[in-house]
Amino acid sequence: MRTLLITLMLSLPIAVFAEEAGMVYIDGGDWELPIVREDTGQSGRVEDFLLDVHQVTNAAFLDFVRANPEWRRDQAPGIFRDAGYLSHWPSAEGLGEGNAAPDRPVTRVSWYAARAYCREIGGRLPSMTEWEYASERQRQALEIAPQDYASQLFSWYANPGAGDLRPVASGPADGLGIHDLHGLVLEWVEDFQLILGRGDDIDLLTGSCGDTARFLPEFDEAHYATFLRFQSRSNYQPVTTTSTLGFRCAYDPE
Amino acid sequence: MKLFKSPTIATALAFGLISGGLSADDRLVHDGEFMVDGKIFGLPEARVYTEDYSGPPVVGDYLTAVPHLAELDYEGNRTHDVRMDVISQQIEVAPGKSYNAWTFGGSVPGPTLHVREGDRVVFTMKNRSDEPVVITEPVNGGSPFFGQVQANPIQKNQPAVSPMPHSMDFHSGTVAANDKWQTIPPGATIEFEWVANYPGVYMYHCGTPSVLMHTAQGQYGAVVVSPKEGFPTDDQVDHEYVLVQSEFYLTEDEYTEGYRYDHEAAMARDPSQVTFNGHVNALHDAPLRANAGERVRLYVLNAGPSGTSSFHVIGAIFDRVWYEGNVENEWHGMQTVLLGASNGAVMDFIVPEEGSYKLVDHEFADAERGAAGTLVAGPRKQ
Amino acid sequence: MKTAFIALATGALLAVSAFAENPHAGHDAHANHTPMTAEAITHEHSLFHLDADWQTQDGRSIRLDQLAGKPTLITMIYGSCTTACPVLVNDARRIDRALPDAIRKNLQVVVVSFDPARDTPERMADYGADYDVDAERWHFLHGAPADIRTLAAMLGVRYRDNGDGTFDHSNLLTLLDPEGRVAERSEGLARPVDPIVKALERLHETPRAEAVASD
Ligand SMILES: [Cu+2]
Repeated sequence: MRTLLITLMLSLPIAVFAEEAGMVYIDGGDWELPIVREDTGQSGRVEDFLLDVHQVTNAAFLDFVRANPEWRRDQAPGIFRDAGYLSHWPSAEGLGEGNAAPDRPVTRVSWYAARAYCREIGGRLPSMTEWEYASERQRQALEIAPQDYASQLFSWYANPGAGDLRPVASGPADGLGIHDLHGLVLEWVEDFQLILGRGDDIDLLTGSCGDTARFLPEFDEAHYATFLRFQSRSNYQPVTTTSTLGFRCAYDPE
Repeated sequence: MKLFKSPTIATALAFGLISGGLSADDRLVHDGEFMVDGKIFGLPEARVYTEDYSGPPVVGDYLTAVPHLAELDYEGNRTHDVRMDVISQQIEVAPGKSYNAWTFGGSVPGPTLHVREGDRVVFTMKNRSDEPVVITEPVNGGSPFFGQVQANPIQKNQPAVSPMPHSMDFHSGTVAANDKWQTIPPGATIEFEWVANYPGVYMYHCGTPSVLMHTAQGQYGAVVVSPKEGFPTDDQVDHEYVLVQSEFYLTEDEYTEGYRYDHEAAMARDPSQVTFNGHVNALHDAPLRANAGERVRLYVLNAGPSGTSSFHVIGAIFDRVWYEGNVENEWHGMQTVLLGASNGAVMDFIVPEEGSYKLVDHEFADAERGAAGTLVAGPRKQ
Repeated sequence: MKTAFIALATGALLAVSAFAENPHAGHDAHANHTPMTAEAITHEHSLFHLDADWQTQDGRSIRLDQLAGKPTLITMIYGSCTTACPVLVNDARRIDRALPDAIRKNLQVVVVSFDPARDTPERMADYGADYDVDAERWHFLHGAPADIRTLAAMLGVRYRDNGDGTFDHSNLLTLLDPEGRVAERSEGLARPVDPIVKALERLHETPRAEAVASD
């Protein structure tokens, strides 16, 4: 895959290449996270990167597990995953119906497993900043009103469809061409524990009670909807797996 | 985990054999514990771990469904092993209005825990929000809570799956919140201890941000810590009931059928329902019962999350009120008791005559939204 | 937790003295970066499962599982850090020096840099030399960014690249048993050496045969 990537990049304009490989090229820019971090004064810079157009599917993850049996659910060391790892698959190397169908986003994967997958195909997990940047750029491109974004997310939080996930990329990919950033499953990012983490001294009480005011520039529903994503992510452990947590990979332009 | 200094003490505590004849040192169980003014502090650090547990989500003999309160059928102090798992559950709060609640044990409010001042609680909680858990079928090894929910399933509890990080904050505990009340992800279990240092009617709730959302979603309940020497009227009380008032902020979901949490309404303190015991009809369909001339005791908690309760019984006057449930805070002849969010009180009243007595939040905008119930009084027993 | 303030205050004092003997002193980029509380460790698994190659200060390649058979004290720092990191490395050295010879000769100390771009093996060699420690037993490691992140997650160390040459990070010493499992942790700066010294004594007294095979 890594070789393929380099070869293709030599022969095609990068945007064309990215699209064919199932990725979107995202132009970087100056950007601030929607959540306020007290200790940064500088404006954030996001470099150009590539992002998978859709979440990693059960089928793709099965290929990875077959090629890397040390990531089978019956072989992956306990330090890298909790007991729920791939437990929705009917067998260690077999897919099934519903959430275990080939075209559904892979869920019940730990952060370690997600990273191993992306590394294997020559990529990496997006950083939290990259993921959030893509999310906001996508919202702008689609001209989604903050209220609609919030309603959709609160609806997802209330009823995340954990028992009955859609196939990835079911709808059209408008805007930047990225599918399902919101509303299908949450996604791992490389530095998921930072900011609002229970261990982060800039937020001593996040683990115990709500002092969200310090992190929100505005108290509208859209900011809360975003905050809940940050908050949930921060409280996972790297071995955590859930029925609504998957991932997609990012890549550095060569 | 249970680093008991003395096996004898541990056993004695577990079997409730000790009734106050202990020296200060003997009540200290773990290294590092200390006593100030008769209260125990410095409890061991919480333990977060993973366990293969799929048993009853509520375990403990002194855990009941509202409005029930477990009887303290032991002398002196004991150690309670208490489990309340976090589970997602679809519940109904008004006819036809159900939503996916985040709960302790599967109901809103969650189970009521009853202990005595000085008791120790060893608390275990697994975050099972990613697992459908049924609470409406007979459970082996569970607490009395299940039988009571099943006898009166007014919330029509159905399992739901909604993985989220959660935590537990017992107002009845005096501990470092960043340790004991820490947030755990789905699949993890936390175990910690607290000692009921002060008597009272307390709130417990999830403290994970947005704490407004987590509590409004249903993660709260009551702990009653009875005073060591009891209340002065204990031997005259004929009936005891627990009432938890709370607000719900629901809106019709634009994307899926049913209702969901409405954050904008919650921020504006504009509830869609305000209930006693989690359903607008909870105390109408199953009214509280007593007879003329009897002394009724209410343990009332206003769980909020954001509103106050001006608690009143139409046609009665509270003979005695112990504000916050502490025997030192005794008031007499109260018409209405004002409870801020998370305030509680113990209220005694004498039932004047046969008839119906409405319990209301006298802030009538709340009563109109459901904060009302009924006590049906029969004739005076001879 | 209760002693955190005292520990930090002491740490700051020691940092001043460590500063004097640190050749990288003078680089004052970010004197007050934020210490981050370490994540709780909820597993009892071996860290030797980490499949990664590291470079020692003398340019050798090493994998964590090559440390099996003896206890290992491990910490994570970055070389241009002038405040917490010198104290942390000095804490490891204090532990090393507090041990009886028989235990010390078996202890391996691993110092891993968060900052592979600046902390090349050569620079780590200089760094290590300043501490005047036994280079046979002390390994100052350079690794790939992804592996550093993985190791930090396994140890419960939080860190963040501030983009200005400084890192916010947890101040944590972790003792691994001969099978690579976490045997003891010491969080904070200039903490008493006792807990880890005692844990090493216990490991020394435990016959190897009794050690349970790790998962
Ligand atoms: Cu919660």
